[in-house]
Amino acid sequence: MLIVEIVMILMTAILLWHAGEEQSPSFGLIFWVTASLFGFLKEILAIHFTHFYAFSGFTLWLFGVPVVYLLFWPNIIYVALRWSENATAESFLASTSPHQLYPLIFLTMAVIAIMFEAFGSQYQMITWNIGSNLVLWGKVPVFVPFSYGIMGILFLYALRETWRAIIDPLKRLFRLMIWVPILILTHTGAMFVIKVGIDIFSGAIKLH
Amino acid sequence: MLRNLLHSYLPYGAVDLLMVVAIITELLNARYDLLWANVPLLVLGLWSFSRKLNRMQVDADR
Repeated sequence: MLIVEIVMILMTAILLWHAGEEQSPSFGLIFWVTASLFGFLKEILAIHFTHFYAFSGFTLWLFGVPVVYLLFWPNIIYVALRWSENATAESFLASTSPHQLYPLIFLTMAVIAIMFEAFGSQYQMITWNIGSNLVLWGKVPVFVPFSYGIMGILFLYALRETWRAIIDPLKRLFRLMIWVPILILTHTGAMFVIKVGIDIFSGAIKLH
Repeated sequence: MLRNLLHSYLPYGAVDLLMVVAIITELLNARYDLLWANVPLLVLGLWSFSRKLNRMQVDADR
């Protein structure tokens, strides 16, 4: 899917420039580097260890994962952040109580998941190995939007905590990198719980 | 004002790029059922952007 890879590069250029103008170039750089690391390591874990899904049809690959996923996660998490801020007129990093932003961030990530996974299902870009009684368009399991939503919330929570605690850009970068393995483990655990919850709800797991 | 408008549209325009590709491929592949998957994102984007535009208008009127 060369077109997806080209569009993702274009999106990155647009959004990085926007982040630089809106906040600062160092914010853009820290955001993209750490969200890339978070997203890409999560994909490596999913492909090689948990085998939740498999990719196919992409042009560039790294460690068995499409290179485009280095850009995909920071792009959509940044979009979720900005759309939510615009809807509420709250600054996520500056606000003392950004709690009303979290549901919107989750929702934005979830609707992006619904659109992107349905699009990808035409070309078997992502094949889900987890069967489910509840599916969305393109036979995408219903827990996928939850996965995207939780990714966004976890990363932005760590970003906010780091941003408010530290001033130095380099220290912010390192602190966020330390957050990454914690976020990946938390995300995997949360996904397991949500998957079991959905299976109980849909009747795939019966409680006696 | 126009520059502000364009700047505010960028996070929406970036997603529109991907959504346009999705919609075109779904039409070309005659996967009309998948077109519904774009509706929630479209609605949320329009709602968020309209709120931003309203605020910009209020700020400009001051």
